Amino acid sequence: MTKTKKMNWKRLILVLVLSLGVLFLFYGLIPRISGTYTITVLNGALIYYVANIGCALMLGQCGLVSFASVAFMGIGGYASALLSVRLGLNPFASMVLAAALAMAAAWLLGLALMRLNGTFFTFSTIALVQICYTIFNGWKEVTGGPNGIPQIPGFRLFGWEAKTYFANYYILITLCIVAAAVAIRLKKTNLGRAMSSVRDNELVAMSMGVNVFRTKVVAFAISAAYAGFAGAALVHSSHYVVSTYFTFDNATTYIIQVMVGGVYNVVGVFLGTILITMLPEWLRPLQEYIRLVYGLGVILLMIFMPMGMWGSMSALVKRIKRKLHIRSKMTTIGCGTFAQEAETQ
Amino acid sequence: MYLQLLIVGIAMGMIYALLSLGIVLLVRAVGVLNFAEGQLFMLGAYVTYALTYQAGLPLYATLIIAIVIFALFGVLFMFSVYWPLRKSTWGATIIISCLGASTVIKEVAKLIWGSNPLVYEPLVKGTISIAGAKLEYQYLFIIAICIVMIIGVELLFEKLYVGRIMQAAAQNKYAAELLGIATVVTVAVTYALSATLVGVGGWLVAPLFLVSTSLGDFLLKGFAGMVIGGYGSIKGAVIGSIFVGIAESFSVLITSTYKNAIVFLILIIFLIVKPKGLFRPKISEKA
Amino acid sequence: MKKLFAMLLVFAMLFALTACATNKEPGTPDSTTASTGDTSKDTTSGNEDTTEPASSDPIRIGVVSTFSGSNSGHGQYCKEGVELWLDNVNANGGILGRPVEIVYEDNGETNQEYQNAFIKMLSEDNVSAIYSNGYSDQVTLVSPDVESYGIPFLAGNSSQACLDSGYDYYWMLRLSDAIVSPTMANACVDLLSMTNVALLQVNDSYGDGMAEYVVKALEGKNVNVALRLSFDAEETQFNSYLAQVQNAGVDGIIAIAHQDQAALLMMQVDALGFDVPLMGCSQFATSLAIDTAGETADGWYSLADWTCEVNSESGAAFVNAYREKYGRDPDMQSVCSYDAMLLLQDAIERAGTDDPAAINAALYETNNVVGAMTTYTCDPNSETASHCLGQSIFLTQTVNGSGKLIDIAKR
Repeated sequence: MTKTKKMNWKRLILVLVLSLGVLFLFYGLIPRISGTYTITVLNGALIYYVANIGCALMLGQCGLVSFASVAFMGIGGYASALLSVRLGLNPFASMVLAAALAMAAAWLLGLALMRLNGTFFTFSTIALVQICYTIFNGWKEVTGGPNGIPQIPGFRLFGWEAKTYFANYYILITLCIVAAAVAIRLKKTNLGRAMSSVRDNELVAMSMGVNVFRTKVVAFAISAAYAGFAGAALVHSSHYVVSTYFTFDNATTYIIQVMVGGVYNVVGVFLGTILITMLPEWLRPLQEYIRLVYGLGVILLMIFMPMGMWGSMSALVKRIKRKLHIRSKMTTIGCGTFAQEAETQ
Repeated sequence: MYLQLLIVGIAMGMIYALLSLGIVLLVRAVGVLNFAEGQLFMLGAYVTYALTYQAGLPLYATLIIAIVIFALFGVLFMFSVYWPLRKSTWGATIIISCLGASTVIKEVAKLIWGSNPLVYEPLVKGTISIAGAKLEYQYLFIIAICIVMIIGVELLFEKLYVGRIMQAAAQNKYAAELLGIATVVTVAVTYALSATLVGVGGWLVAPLFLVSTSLGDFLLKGFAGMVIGGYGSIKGAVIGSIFVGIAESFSVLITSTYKNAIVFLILIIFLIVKPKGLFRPKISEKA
Repeated sequence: MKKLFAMLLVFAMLFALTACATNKEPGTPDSTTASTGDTSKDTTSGNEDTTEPASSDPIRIGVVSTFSGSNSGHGQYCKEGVELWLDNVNANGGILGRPVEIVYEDNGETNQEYQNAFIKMLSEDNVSAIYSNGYSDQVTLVSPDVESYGIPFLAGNSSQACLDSGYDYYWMLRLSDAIVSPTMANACVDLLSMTNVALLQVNDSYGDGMAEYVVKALEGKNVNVALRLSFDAEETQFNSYLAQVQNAGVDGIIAIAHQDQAALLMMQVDALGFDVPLMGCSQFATSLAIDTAGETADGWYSLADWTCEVNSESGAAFVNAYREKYGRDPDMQSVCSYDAMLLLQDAIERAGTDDPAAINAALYETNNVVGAMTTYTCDPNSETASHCLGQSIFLTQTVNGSGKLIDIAKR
C-alpha cells in the first residue's frame, strides 16, 4: 500500500516536471527562437491540431474514418465570422457559439448517418464535405461566395487585441492545450470507455449495455465541436474566410496528419500535424519535387509505422521496458512494473 | 433538350461506371477503398497519349502495349501500397497510403508531361445527331466499349472458373488458401484488372476532356456511383454510376451553382433510405 | 525484410513511370508540353556577371508563385518572364548601379501555404518589393500583412474587390474586372449586336467577380441576361450547361473561365454547333487555350490583356526575345511578371533607393511606362482604381488559330 502511494507521488512529480517543461517549451522557448514566418506556419498547424483531435477521437476512439472535419470547420468558421462581423460579438464568444453550432449540426446529421456502417459512413462524410464546400462557395449572400468574408476581427480580450502573429500564437497554443486536456480527460470518462468498446467490438459493447448508436452520435458531435472551434480560430487568426479553405483535398490532408502521428494519443496527433504542416516548408529547396517527396514520405510512413509515429514510439518503449522488466524480475517482483505496463497501454 | 441531357448523362454515367467498376473489384477482392483510382484513370490517358504521339505507335499497338503497362502497373501498385499493409488492423492505413500514392502518381505525371493539358485526337471527329440531340462520336465509342468491358467482367466472375477462384479467394481468404488458391495471385490479378479497366477509361475520355491531371477528380463520382449501386456489386456499380451521370446532367436544370451538392445530397439520401444500396452484393462488406 | 521489399517496390513504381516516359521523349514535337528542366536552382541566379567593385549589395525583389502542385505551370511561366528581365538588367549594370537578385517562394496549393510563403517573403527574405500572380482570394488573405510590413506588392490578379479595400501597398498590373466589363458589354452590343445573352462563369473569385460586373454593365446597356450558369473550377463536362443555353434561344454567349476550361468550353461549344457570336474573357485568347482547342477556337471574340500575335512594338520585342530564350511562346503569366519587373525597375530608379516605402511612393508617380503588355500609368485621382496601373486592353477575334486585333480599348 505504501509502495503504491510512493509510486503515485513519483508519478505526480514526473507529470508536474513534464508539464512545466512543456509549458516552458511552448510559452518561453518556441516564441523566443522562432521568427514571424515560423510562428505563422506553427499557427496554421495549431489550428489544424484542434480539428485533428476531434478527427482522432472518431478514428482512434470509435474506429470511424471521417472526412467531415473540414465541413464542420467551415460551418464553425463561417458562423464565427458572421457572428463577429455582423453582430459585433467578441471573437471568443462567437467561437464558442460556432463550436456549439457545429456540434448541433453534427448531432442532427449523426442521427441519420450513424445508422450506416463503416465504409458507408466514410462515404457519407465525403459527400458531406462536397455539399458543404458547394454551399460555402455558392451562397453569396451569407458566405460571400468565392470572395469570402474579409476583415474579420482578431482575438480580443478586455480591450487587448491580438495584432501580431505572436499574440495569435499565445492564444492558439493555449486553446490547443485546453483542447488536448479535454480530450485526455474525455478518454477516462464512461463515454470514453464506451467509445473504445464500440471500436473494439460493437457486439460485445452492445451486450455490455453500451448504447452503440448513441455513443457514436455523441462522438461525432464532439469531434464536430472540435472542428468548429478550430474553424472559428482559423478565421479569427487569418482575418479572412473563403471557401477554398474547406475543400476535399484539405480533408485528405487532415486525415493524413492524424494517421501519420498516431490516432490513439493527443501527442501523436500533435507530432503528425506538425510534421505534415512543416514538411512542405522544410522541403522548399526541392522546388517542384516537393509533393512527390511528400507523397512518397506518406506511403513509407504508413508502411513502416502503420500505427503512426506515436504508436511506433510507444511500441518501441514497451519493447525496451519488457527487456528491462525481465532483468528486474530476477531481483524483485514489483507489482509497480505491472501497473506501469498497464498504463503504457 | 431533355433528350440531350439524358444522352449526355448516360454517356457520363458510363465513364463513371468504368471507374466504379475498378473500385468495386478491389472492394470485393481485398476490401480496399482505392483513393488512387482516379490517378490510375488519369495515368491511362497519359500513357496512351505518350504511346500514340510521343512514340508514334498505331492504334492497335498503342492499345496492346497500354493494356500491358496498365496491368503491370496495377501489380506494382498492389505490391507497393497494398501488400505491405494488408495485415494492418486499420483500414485507414491503406486509405492513407492510397492517398499518398495518388499524390505520387499525379506529381510524376506532371514532372514527365508538364502541367499544361495535352490534346488527344478522337478516333472519329464530329458529332452525331439523334432526334435533335447532338453528341460527339467519341461518346458512342465510350458507351460501346464500356458495355463490352462490363459484360466481360460480369462473365469473368459469374461464368469462368478463374473468376470463381477469385471470388472464392475474396470471400474467405483462409479457406481459399487451404484449397490451394494462392491469394497473392488472385489479388494481383484483381489489381491488374482494376488498373486496366480504369486505364482504358482514361484513354476513352482523353479526347473529350483533354489529358490533364484534373482527370483524377472523376474519382468521387465513381465512388458515388458505386455506393448508390450497392457496395461491392458489379451490376449495382454500373447502374448506380449511370444514375449519377443522369442526375448530374439534369441537376443543371434546377441549379448550376449547387450542382455538385445535388449529386452528393442524392447520395446521402440514398444512403439513409437504402443503406445497402440498390443491389446487395454477394460478398459481405469487409472493410 | 518484407518492408524493405515494399520500399524497393515503391521506388520501382516510380522508376517504371519515369522510364516509360523517357523512352518516348523524342517523338512528334508537341507544342503544349512544358519543359520541366530548368527550375531546379534559383535564388542565386543572375548576379554572376556584376563584378563591379562600385556596386554594393544587390537589390532584392521577391516573387511568390506556384512552383509545385496542380498549377505549377503558372509558376514556370512567371519565372521565365522574370528571368528574361533579370538577365537583361544585370547585363546592363543592374538598377542604380547595383545588381538585382530575385528571391522566389513557392506558394503551394492551399491558402495556408500561400500565406506562409508570403510571411516568409515579408519577414525573412529582406526584399524591397514583391510580385505575385496569386488568385484574388489569396491576395485578399495576405494584403493586411503586406500593409503592415509596408512592402509594395504588385499582383497579377484583376479583382476589383482587392482595389476597393483601399490598401496602400497593393498594386494591380492588369485592368480590373470593373474596368474591363463595360468594354466587354460595349463590344457585345455594338459589335456583336447581342440582346439576349447566356453567361457562363467559373464559380471562383475570378469568375464570380468578373461576372458580377459584366452583368451590371450588360444591364446598363439594356441587354437581357437570359441565363447565368456557374460551374466549379474542376468542371470538365459542359454539355449539360450548353444544352440549356441552346434551349434558351439566346443570341450570344459570354464565357468566363480559366485557360483549361476555356479550351474545353470552346471544344464543346463547337461540337454542339452554336451559330451565335461568342465572347470570352481574356483567358480565351491565351495561346494555351487556343492551341489546345485547335480549330474550335476560331470565331471566338475575347478581351485579351495579352496575346502573342497582337502587339505593340515593345510587346513584339518581348515575344521575340522570349521565343529565342525559351523556345516557346510566352504566356500571360510571363508577360505579367516581366512587366511587373519593368515597373519596379522604373520605380526604383525614380526613387533612387531600394527602400520599400520610397518605391511605393514612386509607384504613385508611374507615368507612361511602356511594358510588353500595355503602358502603365498611375492615376491618383481615380476614385475606384488608383492602384490599377494598366491602361489598355485588346479586343481580338481568333481566326485560323491566332488572335486578330479588332480594337484597342483604353480605360
